[in-house]
Amino acid sequence: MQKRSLIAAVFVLCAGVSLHVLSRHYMSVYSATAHLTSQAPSAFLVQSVAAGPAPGLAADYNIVAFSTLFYEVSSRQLSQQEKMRAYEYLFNYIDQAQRFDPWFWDVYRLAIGITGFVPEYTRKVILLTERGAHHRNWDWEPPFLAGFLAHNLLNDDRLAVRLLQLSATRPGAPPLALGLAAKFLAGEKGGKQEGIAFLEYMRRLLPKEYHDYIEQRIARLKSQNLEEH
Amino acid sequence: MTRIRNLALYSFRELMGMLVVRITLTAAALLPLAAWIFSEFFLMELTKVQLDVMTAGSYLLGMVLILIAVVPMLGADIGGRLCYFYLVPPVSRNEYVLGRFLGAALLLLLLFAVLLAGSETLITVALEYAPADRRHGIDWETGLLIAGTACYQSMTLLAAVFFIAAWATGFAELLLFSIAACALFWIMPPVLEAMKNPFLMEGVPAWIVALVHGIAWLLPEMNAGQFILAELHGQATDYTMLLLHFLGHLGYVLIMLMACLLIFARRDL
Repeated sequence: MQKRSLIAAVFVLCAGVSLHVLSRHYMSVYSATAHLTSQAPSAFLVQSVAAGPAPGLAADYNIVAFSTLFYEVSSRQLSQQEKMRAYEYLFNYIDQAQRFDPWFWDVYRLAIGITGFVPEYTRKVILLTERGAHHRNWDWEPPFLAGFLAHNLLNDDRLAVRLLQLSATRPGAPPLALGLAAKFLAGEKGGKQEGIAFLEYMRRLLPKEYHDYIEQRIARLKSQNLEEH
Repeated sequence: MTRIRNLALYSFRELMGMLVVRITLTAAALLPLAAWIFSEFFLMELTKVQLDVMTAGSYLLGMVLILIAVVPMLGADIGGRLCYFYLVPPVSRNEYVLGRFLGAALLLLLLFAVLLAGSETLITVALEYAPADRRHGIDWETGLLIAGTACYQSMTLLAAVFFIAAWATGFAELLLFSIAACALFWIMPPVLEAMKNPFLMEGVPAWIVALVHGIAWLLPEMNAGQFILAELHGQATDYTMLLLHFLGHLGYVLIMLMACLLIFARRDL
């Protein structure tokens, strides 16, 4: 009887080890976001360890941290140096949030709506959004918004056309995306009116807390427009 | 079989009698409310944020329940010699271990049933009231995936705790090694993920890399969060990978339980 129990025990142990090894061999740490970990600041690693098996919550944490810091930046008088450091942190939060959850729409909305308008970060935000656009492969908005920023703020029409064409291939994309791509391909420069229209569109996308920031930019563009005329 | 069933039911009732268990179950029932409040800080994908909280909460509550309820129960059995109370003929040591394990597993099933109900409530509300862009990719399957994966991952941890109890000499030892197992299970997926990064691994000696990979091979894959994240955004779930993940955990439970039975049958009590 004891011998039979031992054989059964060994058999179950072998079955368990086989299943474990099979799973380990084929899965080799399955990760949906592995290709995004191109660099690893220590904060990202610490957050990864803290989040453990729930990476989505780490992305959420970065968005909350972004909102908290943005509130500080917009509600206090800061020197230029302090502002630039704050924008660096804001961009880092967005970057880390994307690495934890590259599909999260709030990441791109905040990246484009806030950090995208800081000249030092515009290109980085556009590239971040382009990476995100490949993940959100059902969504026309991220490449559309990034494309417009590339045209309007970077004057990089090749990048703008690439992004707008990507946007135009997505379901539900507005004809505006293709129209703008054609216009930029033809080398026509978009005027301030288009910039104002874009910012008004962004204002509709973002919640009230962010409206002041966008409205300041609209007012600045409008005053520049008046001066030119 | 009847003795195992009776002992499992008795263990379940014993665990349910603990105040900490009732508090944990209440926390699990209130988790959707906490998730809903937390999601109010966000702009768009509120349902995704709510289910992120449910995912992390499921893993945490599973671990908490094992550490604050099952570990003290086994600690009292072994350290306080209460196991003599159950190990009276004709109850064998194997029946005792299996009965205790099934009782604790029943408690975990109850916890995940509560969490499943919470997740599905959030999903129902989102499907009914939230605009389409705020609930992209969310469906009924998401709640099942969250509760299901958290459930079998917690069963693996439970089996590991039983394995530790098979050779631990008392409550303190059992608690220490169980916490260490929880910590290893929790941090290993991100550590392995980070080790894929050439920037980070530059200058790390090869033997350390081999050592960490070796330890990782001894542990189960606790990274079901990656499946859930993809599912939350409407990405097609890789069911082959999910099946392999489940089979890996099943294998781990079998290894731990069998090792526990073999050691416990031969140890001095």
